[in-house]
Amino acid sequence: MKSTKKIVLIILLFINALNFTSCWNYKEINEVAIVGGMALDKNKENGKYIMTVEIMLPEASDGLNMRPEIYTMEGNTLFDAIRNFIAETGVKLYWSHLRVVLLSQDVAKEGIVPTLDLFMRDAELRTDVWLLISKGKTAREILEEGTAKIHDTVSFHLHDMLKTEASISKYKGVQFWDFVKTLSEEGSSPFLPTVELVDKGKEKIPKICGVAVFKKGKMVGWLDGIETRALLFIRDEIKGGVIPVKNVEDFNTDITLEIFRNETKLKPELIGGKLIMNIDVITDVGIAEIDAAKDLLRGKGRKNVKKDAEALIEKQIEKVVKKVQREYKSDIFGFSGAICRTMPNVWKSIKGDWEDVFTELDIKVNVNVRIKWSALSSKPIKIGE
Amino acid sequence: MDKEVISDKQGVSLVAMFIIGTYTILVSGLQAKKDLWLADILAIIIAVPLLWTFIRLHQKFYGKNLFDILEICFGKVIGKFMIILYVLFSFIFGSLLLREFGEFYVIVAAPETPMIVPMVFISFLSIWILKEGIEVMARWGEFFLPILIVLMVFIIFLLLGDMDIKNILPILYDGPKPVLQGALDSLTHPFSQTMVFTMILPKLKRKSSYRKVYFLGLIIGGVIVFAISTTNILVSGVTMVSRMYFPTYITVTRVNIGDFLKSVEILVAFIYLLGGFIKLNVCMLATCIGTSKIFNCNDYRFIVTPILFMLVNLSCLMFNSSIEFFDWIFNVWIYVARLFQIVLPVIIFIVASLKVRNTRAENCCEE
Repeated sequence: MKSTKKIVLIILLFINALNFTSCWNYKEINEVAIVGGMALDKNKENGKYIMTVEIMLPEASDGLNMRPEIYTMEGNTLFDAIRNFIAETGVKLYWSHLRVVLLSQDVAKEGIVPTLDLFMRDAELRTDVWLLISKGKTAREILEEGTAKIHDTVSFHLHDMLKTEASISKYKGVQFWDFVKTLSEEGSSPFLPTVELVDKGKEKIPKICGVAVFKKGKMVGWLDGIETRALLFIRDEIKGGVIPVKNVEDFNTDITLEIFRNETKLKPELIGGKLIMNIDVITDVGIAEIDAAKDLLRGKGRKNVKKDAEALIEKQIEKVVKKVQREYKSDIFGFSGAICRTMPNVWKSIKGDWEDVFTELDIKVNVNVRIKWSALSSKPIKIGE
Repeated sequence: MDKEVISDKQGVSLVAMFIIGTYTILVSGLQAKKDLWLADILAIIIAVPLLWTFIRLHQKFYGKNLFDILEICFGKVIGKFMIILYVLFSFIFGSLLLREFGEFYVIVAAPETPMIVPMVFISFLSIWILKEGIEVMARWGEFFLPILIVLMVFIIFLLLGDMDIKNILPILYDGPKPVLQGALDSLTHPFSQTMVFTMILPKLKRKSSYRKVYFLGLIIGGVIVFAISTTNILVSGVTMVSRMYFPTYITVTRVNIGDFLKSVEILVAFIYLLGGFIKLNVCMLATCIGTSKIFNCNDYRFIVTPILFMLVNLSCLMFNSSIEFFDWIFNVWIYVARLFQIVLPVIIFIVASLKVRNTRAENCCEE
């Protein structure tokens, strides 16, 4: 009796071991297509989405290479397009390594929200993908025609550019969750970096510069690199970057400052029933380059540099705020959040007609540039007489 | 059955893990929005007197569980009826926990696997540990609680850089009402759920042990619950958190240390598995003990296997889809739970106090 029990047990164990070997839908790496980047356009004729993906195929030569390949498919919805892919190639796309999503202007102008849901819902897509707007005619041209210099694939190239934005500050990488968060806040609107193809010799390379301004879910316009830097100054998102100051007063030379640290405080204020936004910028800079053999580091020279740099930043900030207020009427600066945090009661009373309040909002910019370092040299290069 | 003894430390870890359990993935109290952390603190404070009633019940009837108390206080007929109610409550509670486990596994990890597969496996383990008894379960909890806490601290540490204080400012923007609602929600899930322990805790070493077990468990569990919800809000922001079924899981995807240490979501799943397993077992132990009490049996072990199989069936059949499941939890179950976890225990406590006073007056030499 006991031995029969044992035998039955052993047989059962074996059966189980064969049944529950591993994952239900296990796949080898050569059976899936790893997606690195995706571009989204809209077919104007039939209203379908055109999805272009850059997939990476592992290739074993010396070490492991990633060979990029571009595929395009159409579908009524994003997911429809994704699954249509199977009909063309026979492999299922694997999305967990998706790095960048490029959207064409048309899609962005029509409203970006319908395209976003899938990223939020699908478990395979992560919420830390970068979103980009293509400045060209279509979004797919970036993936199709662009050539990456350092990496094999354009997607990874873009990913690198967005990741190291900190030391240029002329664009701002926006990840999916960040975009959705800004979108869902009361009053504020998001923005996304823009990418375009630039001719370089025979090749075309993708270049990221400036941002696309949204008004809630819809794209309304552009800001260029310099304007974007001013925008980042206001949002306190500057981590680095350079400020070239031209023609320093009395010295007539150019000087380049590098930003090391920045702190911006938005302080809304009620003066006589009128809302005024104080933008206090404190920037620590170092002198990176002096373009003349003149000593600007001491005495009057440094004061003038400071004054000119402050005036420059102030002017740029005022200009970008005016532009956005007049042309786009969308609060991408985070003013609404600042008002909501510091004076919640005032915000409750004005949030109904925030758009009008925003366009009429007066700003007062105070910039304090502190020159802290001058790198290795204490004096500029001297030309012997 | 009387031989089973668990130490205070084991009891504390059981209660703490029970509280942390499903909260790792299902964050409740989101009506409070940005003030979720306030709501959590408030819920913990409100939970103290509630847990005190449980403790008093234990101390008044030293060595007896809720089912015995019900029979003593309400007599044979009403007592039996209430026992049946509580058995049903803990049984459905258990089936929800099991279903939640299945949902989590299928939604997050394996969309093509039938949901019954993870459920069956977890219930096999459950049968095993239930047959071993509460002692083994308690030792299991004692072993895993430190690991769980270390993992939690580790995750929060990794997320420190992504936190943004702006996400919780301004405080009390919508006034105190949403905070109170959120606190009530947090009280329902998970703090007052500890009432299930009144059905299963065996005789502890001293009468004062009960106080230690409940309150220390509440403090440990409460601190971790507070940490989880506050981290969620600080990192993801309230809109993201309230839009997701499993917000913590999404929040942790943000961990990215130098492109090297990332995708640590699996740790969240691990913590959930540890806590959720304890929670499920506590509920099922209550069901089994209660069922054997209904039929006046001394030991519950013979009934474990059939009940667990029934549980798997119920969890699979109860809902057609995950949308239905979450809808039902948030809109129906929460009120049933409040009745069984908050209202009824207080009534039982009042009746029990009266009863004890009466019997004392009759024969004061007893005790």
